Amino acid sequence: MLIGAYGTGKTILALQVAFQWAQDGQNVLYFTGYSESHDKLISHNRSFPFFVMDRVGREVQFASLTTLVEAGPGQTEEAIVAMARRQQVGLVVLDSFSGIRDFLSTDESVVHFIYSLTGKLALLGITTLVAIECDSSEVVRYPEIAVCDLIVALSRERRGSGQRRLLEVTKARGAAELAGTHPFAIGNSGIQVWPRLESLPIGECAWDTGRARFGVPALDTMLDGGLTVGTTSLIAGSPGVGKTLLGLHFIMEGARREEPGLFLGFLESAVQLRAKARVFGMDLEAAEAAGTARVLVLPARDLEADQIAALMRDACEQHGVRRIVVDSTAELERSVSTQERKPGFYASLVGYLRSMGITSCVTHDIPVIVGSELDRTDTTLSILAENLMLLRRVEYLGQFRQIFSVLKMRFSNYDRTIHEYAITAGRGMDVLGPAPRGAGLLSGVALPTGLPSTTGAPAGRATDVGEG
Amino acid sequence: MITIMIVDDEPPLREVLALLLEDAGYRTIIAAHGAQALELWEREAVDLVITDLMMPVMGGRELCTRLRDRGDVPIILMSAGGAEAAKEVPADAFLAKPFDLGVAEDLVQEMLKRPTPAA
Repeated sequence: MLIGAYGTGKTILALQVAFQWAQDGQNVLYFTGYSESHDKLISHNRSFPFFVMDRVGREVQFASLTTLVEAGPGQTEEAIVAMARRQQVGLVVLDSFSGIRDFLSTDESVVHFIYSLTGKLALLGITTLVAIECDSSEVVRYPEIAVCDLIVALSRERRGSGQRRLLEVTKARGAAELAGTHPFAIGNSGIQVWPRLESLPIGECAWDTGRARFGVPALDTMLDGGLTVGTTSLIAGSPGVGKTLLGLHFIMEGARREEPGLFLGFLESAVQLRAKARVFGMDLEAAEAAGTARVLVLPARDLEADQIAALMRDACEQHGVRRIVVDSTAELERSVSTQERKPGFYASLVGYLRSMGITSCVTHDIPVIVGSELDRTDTTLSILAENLMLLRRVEYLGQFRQIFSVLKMRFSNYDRTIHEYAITAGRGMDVLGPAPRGAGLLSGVALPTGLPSTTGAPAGRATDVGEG
Repeated sequence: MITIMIVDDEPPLREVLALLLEDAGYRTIIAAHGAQALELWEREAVDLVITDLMMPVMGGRELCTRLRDRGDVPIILMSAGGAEAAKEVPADAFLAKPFDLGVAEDLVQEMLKRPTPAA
């Protein structure tokens, strides 16, 4: 049974199911009610690619319920069963049941009608799909819903000035449904559902002792040979310090090693990313052509967290991706519908990537360019990610210097020394060596050790970083 | 014409089964439980009985026992409880629910071809 208020997508979903059955070789009998005649229904939905006009009148037969119901419930039932048998269908759709409901005088007669009709069709090996205009909060008012084996509830909810569409399996007899609400969209190809990530089973993979290098030699040395395979890293830093560039290094080094990578971006277009890579001496286009790199740019608006997760899963499971860069957490943060969901969603995401043995890097913007709020990595990912790296632009003796530090790296040794790096056209990022000793380096305003500190940090603090 | 009595407390099942058997050329009579079946038995000449095991008023176990006291009509026992549940019930064949209607029809034909002990 498909339940949902008007305009939630019940008819599109029912049609999509019907045509899928037809494609799988089963005949379908599709009854329309008062809400939409089948002529209108065909003209409204024929633009969907799944709606194959050649199947209409052959594998998919449309008929009107409105003429049948006038003869009474008993004869309606008989007529539906007779037509279903005659046409040897595998699926009967009643869209919608509201048209019939009005002809039945009591709730008992409604329940009896559904029970009897669906029972008979089931015995004949026919599945029945019934659409009902009903909000999921009102199900008690529709006792016939209790008769069915499966309930799929469609709903909409406000999200800022836009809206979200949600699908929930509220009952599935004899089966374990994927719990929770799953976002979906109605696009040009029909309905696309993105299963709630936290509801998906996550496996366990063998521990991989391998390393995923960036291809930036001194940086890889700081990481004891590279990131531990299967871990998630947060690359934090203020705007313009080179986080995206470091992500590109990671993908391109993977491509060089025949480890396919996915760069999932939001703000910069694919064209911009390719141009950026080219400026820094990396041929991203060639890697894409070779199938060792994929660039996927999503619009930074109205995104669903489960949609992003589904794209990642698709890349991993269908394209054998071993490395992922997500640029950046800001869009991920916005895509998660509620604050309460974030820890669970991120834990599932990190767990999924780990289970697939995929090494991932997520960039994270720290809004201040210079300032003392150094450890304020304001995302749950900073706790869940195994590795945390910080890129910083620092004012030091009247000059801007760029520093790199590893704040956390689980399951591995790492160099806790703060290093200086440079970004050069044609080469990209180079880690130059240990940064000049100074207090407050990671805060963005540093002083040579021994001079009074403007940040209040004790002299020599720079050597203490990495205990995060 | 061969008459088949269908005994089941679930209307959709007995009606669909009747529909199918009538299409195959049999006459059917329907009862909702064992007691009603025995009443019909007194008035009708029945060639085959298809009965459910678990029914209100009088179940299939008692119905089969009572029918056996009255003669050797072939009986097909249906149950969702598996063959174990039908143990020691005096029926001639067992049909596990849910079943394919084609299988039910084949079983009916096979039962009707069997010679009765009297013949």
